[in-house]
Amino acid sequence: MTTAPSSAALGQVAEATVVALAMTGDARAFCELVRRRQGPLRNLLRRLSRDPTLADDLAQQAFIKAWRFLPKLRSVGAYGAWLRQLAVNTYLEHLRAVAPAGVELDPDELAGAGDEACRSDERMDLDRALAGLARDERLCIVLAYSEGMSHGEISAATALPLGTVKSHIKRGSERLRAQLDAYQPAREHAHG
Amino acid sequence: MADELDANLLRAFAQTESPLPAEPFVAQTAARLQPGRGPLRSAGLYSLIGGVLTSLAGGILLPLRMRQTRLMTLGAAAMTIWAAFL
Repeated sequence: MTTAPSSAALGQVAEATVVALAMTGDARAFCELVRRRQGPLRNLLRRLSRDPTLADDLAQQAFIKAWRFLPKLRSVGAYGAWLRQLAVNTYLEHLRAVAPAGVELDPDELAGAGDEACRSDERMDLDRALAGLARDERLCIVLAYSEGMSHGEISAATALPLGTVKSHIKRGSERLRAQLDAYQPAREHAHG
Repeated sequence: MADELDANLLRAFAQTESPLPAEPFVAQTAARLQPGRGPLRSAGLYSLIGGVLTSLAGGILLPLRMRQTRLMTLGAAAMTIWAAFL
């Protein structure tokens, strides 16, 4: 007779095995998957939404969808990419609900949200610079630089044409670089 | 050709990746999973609803089909009798 591994034991098990267990409806196994993947997923959504509270809510929504649709996952090895795609879709659905395409939310207002006291200067600089990018540009930049996705993968994940993804990343990188270069001397001057 | 990315920006993104406390988030997510509504149970529920709807549809359509059969039989009998008297 086999017994289900304890929560502590699950922490030592390879992810593929935990995914396979969660696919059978094992809620403890799924919570272990949440524990393992929550950091990268929340960081990704924080970068995209620039609001920690909203990012955590969207991350939870993505995990709930994952729990619901896990039996449809084709391969346990695809879990990470599949979960990230769910998170990106959840973020895009949220954008469509709150602001129609082309309507950009106020970057200053959004950049001010959250626990800034806990963040480093570098993180604040990067977040502020990201806030200055257009919505789709920021999405492509974050997926490329933070998630390491290729241009083709970003195109597939966001349903944007490949040429558009390439130009967003090229122009977005230039703008981001210029803004970060502008912040650097100002911060050094402020710190004396 | 590999996708070209700015090395300085790659470094900036990597350096600002902050570890986040897991436990409160995991507990909140677990609470939102609604125990007893796991993927398999949801699948079972959907299958049950599907079964009930199929049965209802069958229950409605079958008598209609039978009625058509009866009408056709009656029609055929009437035509046979009519043809026999002609």
